[in-house]
Amino acid sequence: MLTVVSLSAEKKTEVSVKFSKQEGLIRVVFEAEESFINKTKVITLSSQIKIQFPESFNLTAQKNLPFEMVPKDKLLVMNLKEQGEIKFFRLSSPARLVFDIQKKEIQKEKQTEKKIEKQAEKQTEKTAEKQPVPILSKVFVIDAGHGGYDFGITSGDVSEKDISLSLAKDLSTILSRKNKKVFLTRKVDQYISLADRINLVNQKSPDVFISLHSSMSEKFILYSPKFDEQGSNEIVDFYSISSRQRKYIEKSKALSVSIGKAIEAEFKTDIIRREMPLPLLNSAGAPSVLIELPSPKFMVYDQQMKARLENSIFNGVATYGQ
Amino acid sequence: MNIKRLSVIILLALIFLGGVAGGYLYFMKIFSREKPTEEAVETLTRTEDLFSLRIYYPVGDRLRIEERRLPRRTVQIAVAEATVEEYLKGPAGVASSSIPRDAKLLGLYKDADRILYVDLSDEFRRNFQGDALTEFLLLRGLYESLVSNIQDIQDVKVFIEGKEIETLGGHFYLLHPLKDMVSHETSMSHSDTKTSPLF
Repeated sequence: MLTVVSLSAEKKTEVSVKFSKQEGLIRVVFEAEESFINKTKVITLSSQIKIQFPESFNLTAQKNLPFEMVPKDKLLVMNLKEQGEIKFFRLSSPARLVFDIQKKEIQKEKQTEKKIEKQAEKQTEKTAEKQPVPILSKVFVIDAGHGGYDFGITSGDVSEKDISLSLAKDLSTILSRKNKKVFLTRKVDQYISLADRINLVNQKSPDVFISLHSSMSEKFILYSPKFDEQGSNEIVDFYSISSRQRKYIEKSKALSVSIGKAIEAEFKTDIIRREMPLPLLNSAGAPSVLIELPSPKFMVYDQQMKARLENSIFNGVATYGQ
Repeated sequence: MNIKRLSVIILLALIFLGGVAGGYLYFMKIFSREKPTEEAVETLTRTEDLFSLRIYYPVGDRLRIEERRLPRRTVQIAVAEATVEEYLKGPAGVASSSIPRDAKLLGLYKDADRILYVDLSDEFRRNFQGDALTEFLLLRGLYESLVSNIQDIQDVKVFIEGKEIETLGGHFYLLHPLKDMVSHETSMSHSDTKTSPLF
C-alpha cells in the first residue's frame, strides 16, 4: 500500500481509495467519515476529476492506479489517462464517493450495439415498407399461445407464453401500420381458454388467423388443420370439435406454405409442416396456421431474432394469396 | 384327607398339561400341512398365471409399443387400471419421458355408452410440458393402450381430480372423449416434400 501524505500540518482526515477494473469500466471509491464525505464537492471533466474535501486529508491508496492523483491542500485532482464518461455517486453506510469511468471506445461499442438493436426493431417495418407485394389480407387475428398460469415450454426464465405474446404484439404493430385491422386473442399475460380464442376468431372472421407457439425442438413447425375424410358415427359426431375450418382448409395450407417459405428464406433452414386436428385450427372459420417456433432451449429470443421472425412471418403473409 | 386332596389336584394338573401339549401338537401338524399348499399357489401364479399388456408409449415423434407381463386380472376394469398404471410409469430405458411425472390413477368408470372415464391426479396436467405433438402423442398413447387391452370400450375420456378440464397443455381439448381427436392419421412433411404418415 502506498501512502500519500499531504503537506498540510493541520489535523488530517483519513481517506482511503480503492479501484477496480472490468471491461473498460474503472470504478474508483473514496471512503472517509460521513460528515467529511457529505461536505465534499466534486467536479468531473472528460479526463479529470476534481474533489474538494472540507479539510486536509491523508490519502491511502492501492498501488498501480490507472490514473494520476495530485493532492494539494484540501483539493485532490485525478488525471485520467484516457477520456471517458464519468458517473458520480455519493453513497452512505459506509460513507463513500464512487466514480464509474467508462472508456469512450467501450461506450461507443455499447452505443453501436444499442443502435443495432434499434435498427433491428425497425428492420421489419422498413422491410414492410419496401415490400413490393401488397398484402391482400385486411383483417388479422393473432393468437399468443398459453398465458397466465399456463407457461407453455420454459427454459430458465424464458417461457413460451412471453415469447408468443411479444411477437404477437410486435406483429400487430407492424400490420396496423400497414392499415390492417389486427385483433389479438390476448394483450397481457393472462390465461385465455381455447374456446374463448376460437370464439374471437369466429367473431372477427379474419382473412388470416395465426397462432404462435413454441416447439420442443430446434425446428420451425407449421401446423395446418386436419379432418378425418371418412364418415364418423353418432357418438363421435356428438362430441366432435367444430369443423368450421372445412371450407378454408386449402387456403390454410397455402398460408402455411407461404409462411414456411419465408421462414426458410430468412433462416436458411428446413421447416416441418404437419397436419393435425388441433381444435384451434379445426374450429376457426378462417385461413389458419399454427406456428411453432424453435424452443427457447435452442434459440435466443433477443430483439434481433424477434425482428427476423416478425419479418419472415410478415413476408409469408404478404406472398399468401398472390 | 389332605393326601387325597393333594393327589386329586396333581392329577387334574397333569390332565390339563396333557391337554395343552396335545392341542399344541395337533395344531402344529395342521399348520405345517397348510404351508406347502400356499407356496405352491404362489409359485403357480409366478410361473403360469400371467397376462400381457400392450402399452403405447410416446417416444420422440411417435408411439412405441412395449409388452408388460403382470399377474392375471379377470375383471376388465382391473385390466384397465393396470394399463393406465403401467402407462404412467413411462417407457423402459428412456431418460426423459414426456409422461408427466408423479401422475397417479385416481379412478376408472365405464358408462352406458361404453365410454371409459379415466380420472388422473393433477400432476398429469401440472407436470406436463410440451408442444402440440407431445400433447397429441401423450393422449393418443393413453387411448391406444386402453382400447388395445380392454374389450368393449367405445371411447376414453380423461378427468383430472374428478373434474373435466378444458385442455392438458393448451393445444387439445380434454372436454371431449379422445377418439375423434387422436385417431387421425396425422401426417408431416419436411419443406416441400410430400406429406407422409407420422404414426
